[in-house]
Amino acid sequence: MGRNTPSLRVIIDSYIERLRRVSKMLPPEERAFLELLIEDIESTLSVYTHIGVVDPIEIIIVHIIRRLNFLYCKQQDMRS
Amino acid sequence: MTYKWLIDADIRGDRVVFTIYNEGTSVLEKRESQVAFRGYIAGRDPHLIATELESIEGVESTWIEKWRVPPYYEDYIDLVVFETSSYKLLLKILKLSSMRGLKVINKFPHPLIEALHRLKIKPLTILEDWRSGVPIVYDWIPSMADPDLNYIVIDVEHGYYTVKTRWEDLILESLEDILNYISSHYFHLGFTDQQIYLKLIELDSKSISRVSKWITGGAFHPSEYFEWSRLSYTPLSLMGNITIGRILSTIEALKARSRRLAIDTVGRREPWRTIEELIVNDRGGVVYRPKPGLYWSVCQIDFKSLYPNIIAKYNISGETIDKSSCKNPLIIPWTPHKVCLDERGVVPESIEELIKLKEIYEDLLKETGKSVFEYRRSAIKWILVASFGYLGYRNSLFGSVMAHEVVTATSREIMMKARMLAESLGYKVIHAIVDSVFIEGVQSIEDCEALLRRIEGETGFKAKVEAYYTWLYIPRDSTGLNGVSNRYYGLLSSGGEKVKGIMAVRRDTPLYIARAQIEALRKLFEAKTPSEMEVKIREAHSIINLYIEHLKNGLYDKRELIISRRISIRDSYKKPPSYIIESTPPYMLIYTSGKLAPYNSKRVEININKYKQLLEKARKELPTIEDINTTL
Repeated sequence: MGRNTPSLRVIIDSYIERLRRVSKMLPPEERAFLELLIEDIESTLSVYTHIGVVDPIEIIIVHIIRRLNFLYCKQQDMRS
Repeated sequence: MTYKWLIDADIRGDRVVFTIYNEGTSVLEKRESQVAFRGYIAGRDPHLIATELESIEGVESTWIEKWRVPPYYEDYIDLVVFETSSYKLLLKILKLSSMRGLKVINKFPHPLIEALHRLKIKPLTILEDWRSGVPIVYDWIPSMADPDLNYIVIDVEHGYYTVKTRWEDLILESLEDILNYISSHYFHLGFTDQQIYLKLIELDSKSISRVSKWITGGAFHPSEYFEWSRLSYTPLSLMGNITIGRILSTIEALKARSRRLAIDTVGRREPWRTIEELIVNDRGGVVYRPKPGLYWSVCQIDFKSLYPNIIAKYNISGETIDKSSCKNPLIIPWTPHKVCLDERGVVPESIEELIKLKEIYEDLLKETGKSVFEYRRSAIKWILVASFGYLGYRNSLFGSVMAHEVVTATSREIMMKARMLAESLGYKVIHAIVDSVFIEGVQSIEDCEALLRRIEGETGFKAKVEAYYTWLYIPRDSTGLNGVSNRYYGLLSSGGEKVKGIMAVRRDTPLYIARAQIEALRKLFEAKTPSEMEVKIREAHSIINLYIEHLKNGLYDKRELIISRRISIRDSYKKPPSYIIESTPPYMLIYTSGKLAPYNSKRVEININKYKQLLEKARKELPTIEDINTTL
């Protein structure tokens, strides 16, 4: 019932907001890459609503791994 | 054939008086009865208490019974039970007993409800006879009709008062209009909420007496009230400030009473847990944050009464979870709690009967098409919806946080199985919310039904195809980045539409804005293919533009700009808005210079810009051309 903590969604939103603030200080190409990595984080967040998570950073790490795989596959497709 | 119906029971002075409706004469009659009340007292020497009670004049009988006590109903206690036909004497004895340090047990439900249940006098059923001053009623059969009473239901919608009677549905602008209407008719029963009722009394206490009995538990249909009354033995006179939770607790308490399980306010304490355990286990159901956009060929599968069915299937009740003396525990892998299967829990026993009854009403509705069965089905649905929430409520008599957790954990597991199955078949799950899954790329209604059967087989829970959409649109939230879990709409393959959570269907949206959005949606619903959609999106946006133009040019009826609010000061810790001080609920408001002010047709300076903003907000809930390109 979330008696003790803010919702997972709120925590993830605040982390994403922090990442966006950080990205603004990075060189443009790095900023764009970071934006690509955090895109569609809702899909990973949705998966975690089934099983729960203690540390919300886990969601961000898993999402970045998913995105790296997605971007890699996309690049491979474009090459072929 | 005409019947006499037992409509109500209330305590007048010292006795129970029944209200009987004679269908032949259409008249409500009153009759005093000899119904006896029972009191339950626990103390160190039950025999001495019983002897003392016997000597009191007016106490008709006294005896001792063995009852089991909460939280886990493992231990027995001797309770002194006494019976009296005098309500005042009952209250006096119970008060004096408490003052003398004795414990009064079974204080819930109300003694009148307990008496009706014990004597099998179900309210809102047909009267058969009177024996020894007590009414005898026929057994209730779900297919029976409701009494043919004249009723009025008053509610507020889009800033207007809605009036429903047996003959007609009306929309009225003011309370004076309602009073005029009431004074030219006669009603046996009136249903509304306390706020409206108090306003009516304030205006004209004489006219409202044209309604023989007011029930102020909310503007529900009489058939819904009647069903709640029958299920919980709660007479209409006790429904003044009733809540669904109270109806449910009453049903459970009566079930416990039949099994001699004592009712006492002993909570089931949660054991100490680490913060990690709490974060992982103490959560709700699955609620995805869907990606906004336009989706084609979407199958929506809903589990039927998922939480109630989980409660019934796994025997989840406050007293069955983590019971240390359990001989037959059930280990559920997805939760740290154990369920005791030694005995049926009070909650699942009550819920199971309600689930079966709901199915009976669904079948009756299909067979007959009569709206009364829809109202009864809806009445039970409300109780079932509340059943889960009440399980985790801190003052729940038959719940516990642990029981609540087992239900949510099981629901999350079931939803995970459904998702994994759909994905293994090559489909994409675009959204899931509590007991509902939205699956994209299902090419026909037949495929959707086949998928439903697979999901039922995989999870072991009954489900239904709630909708099969030709297209489904999930609008963006105010940030423009995310979807909102309970806002969506789409065109059904059957030709109908389904709209959820957007401005057009919200009761507090001004009619002008709702009308604009509905008209725009109608255009969208003409589209069956992506290319048609492109045209219709442009047309839908033009409709919003037209409404904005009309606003600018003063082509509107200012009554259509009314906004209704039902909040009261108690609902918020924030400083209340000024309209709370300037008027009384239900608030009928209009945007003036920058703020909401009470609607007053004599002095209104409308803030047109605010309504333009609302139209823009309504526009944001429509798809854009980019949405088509993204999904193609």
